[in-house]
Amino acid sequence: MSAEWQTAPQEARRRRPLLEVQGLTVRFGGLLAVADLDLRVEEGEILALVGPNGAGKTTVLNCISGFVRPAAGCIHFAGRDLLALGPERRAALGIGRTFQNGQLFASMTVLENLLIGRHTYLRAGLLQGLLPCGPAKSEDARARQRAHEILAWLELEPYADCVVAALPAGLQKLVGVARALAGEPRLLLLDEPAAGVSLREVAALAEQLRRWNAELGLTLLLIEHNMEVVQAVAQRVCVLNYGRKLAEGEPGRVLREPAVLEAYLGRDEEVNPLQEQEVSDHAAG
Amino acid sequence: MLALLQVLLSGLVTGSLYGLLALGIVLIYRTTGVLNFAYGALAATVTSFLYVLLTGPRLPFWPALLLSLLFALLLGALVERGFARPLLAAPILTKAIATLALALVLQTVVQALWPQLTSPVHFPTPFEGHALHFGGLYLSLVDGLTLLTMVLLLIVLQLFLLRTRLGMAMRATADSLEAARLMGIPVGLIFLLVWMLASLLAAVAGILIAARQTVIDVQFMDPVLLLAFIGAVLGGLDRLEGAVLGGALVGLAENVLALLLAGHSLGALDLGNPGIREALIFAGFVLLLLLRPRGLFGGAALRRV
Repeated sequence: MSAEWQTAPQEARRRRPLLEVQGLTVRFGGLLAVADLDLRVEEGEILALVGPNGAGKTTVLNCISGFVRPAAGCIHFAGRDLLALGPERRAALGIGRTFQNGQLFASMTVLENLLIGRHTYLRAGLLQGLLPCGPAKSEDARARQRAHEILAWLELEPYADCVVAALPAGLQKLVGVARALAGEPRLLLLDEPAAGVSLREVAALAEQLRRWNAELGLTLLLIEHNMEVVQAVAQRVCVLNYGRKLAEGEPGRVLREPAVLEAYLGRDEEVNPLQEQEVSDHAAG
Repeated sequence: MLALLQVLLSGLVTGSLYGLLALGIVLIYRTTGVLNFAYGALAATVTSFLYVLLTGPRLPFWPALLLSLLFALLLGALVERGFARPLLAAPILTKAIATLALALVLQTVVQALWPQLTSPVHFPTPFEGHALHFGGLYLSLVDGLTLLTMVLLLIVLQLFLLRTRLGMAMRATADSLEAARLMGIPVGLIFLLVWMLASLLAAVAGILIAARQTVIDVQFMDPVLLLAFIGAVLGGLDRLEGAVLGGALVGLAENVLALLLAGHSLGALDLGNPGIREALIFAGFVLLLLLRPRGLFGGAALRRV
């Protein structure tokens, strides 16, 4: 692949990011959760949203996927205004997500989770699915095949018929991702993928995030406390504090800025956030 | 031996009725987070409707039954839209208390519409007085139909929940409302259908119970509901199989206790009294909950899902 081939579309994308958040403001009662936030996610990039607990990171994700209605601001995805749409319409446009606490269909099998994750799967209608034949059935077969492909790719195939609640936490996390991938998203929102994952598995997770990004051309926006993961995968970092953007840019630089260190650790301590991760691991576990 | 088999058989019948009610209770609780104390009143309302059809315009039994089941679906939809939906975001305790009010409203409406149901009346069915005999075992026709209905309903329900998209969507909604909504499942429609389905189950249970005891009034489901609730909680309140098993267990316990206690007395206290039986069941229930707070089959912690 020539350099020209790569730069031309990238420049086009630079003019129009895949996701563009402008002036986003969210209030919960008297609390200002997110204040006048601007955020751009380019197609194909990995952006990490970091910040201390309560900084408004999950709220930003919830605004993008449609669970929280902002007081002001606008969000555009692939040129479309998202705020007018409900959560399921946004998912159908290609925004997949995982949840901090999983929100998996715990009493169902891994395969069933993926089938439901394929929201277009329901296009032929819930009621039509009651019929013994017709378009719903052939759609079912396609959905199943695709789900098995995703499971094979994530090495979850042996667990296809296991009930999710019976799986260990690490695998459940992966099921959450698989379910999001089943919807064939362009943008994947990951809420703390490394929380509850053992230190040994963190490197593998970082490797996987990069692989999804490279092989699927998937744009990733992730919230992450684990600075090792952030440094390993993110091309850009956006630091939030009290709902405001504190810093943004290349991870190696941004995470060493004094203001960022202070937000994470308080005024007087001279500690690197890279060493702080054990604390947040404890908090997450 | 034969006496014990006979008791186990009727225990199974009673138990399957409790199980059916427990199933509806758990279905609603799991998907909409409503601990539905109006479930018995729902069943009684439909049964009263059937009674009125049978005695007023003197409709034949089967068409009247069909109309009543349709009425049950309608009632379920009405209660969901008019009662459960506005309360959707309310705390779980608020919703539970509200169902007590709903039960009173339903009972009052039934009494106002059909005052004859204020006192016990005879509930006529074509099955009355017929019985089946297997060797020495005796099974009334109603009891036989109850077992048959229960088995068929469980099979159909299981196939529906496991094999159809709609069933899968219902289970998904019960597991995670947020994720279900994100995946494009029309959760509003699911809530409506769950209430309609649960109302249908309540109606079937109510009508079978009425046919069994042949006498009903507006409150005839109240004592039954209490035992069904015990069954649901024993089953862990979060799984459908648990509800059926829990209900069956309560029914069996009730009948076995009746056999054991009949004819015995403790001083002036007649132990054969049904009240004693129920007291023992409740005491055993409390003891079980102390030992296993999540019920006999409940795995996960109780939560609103």
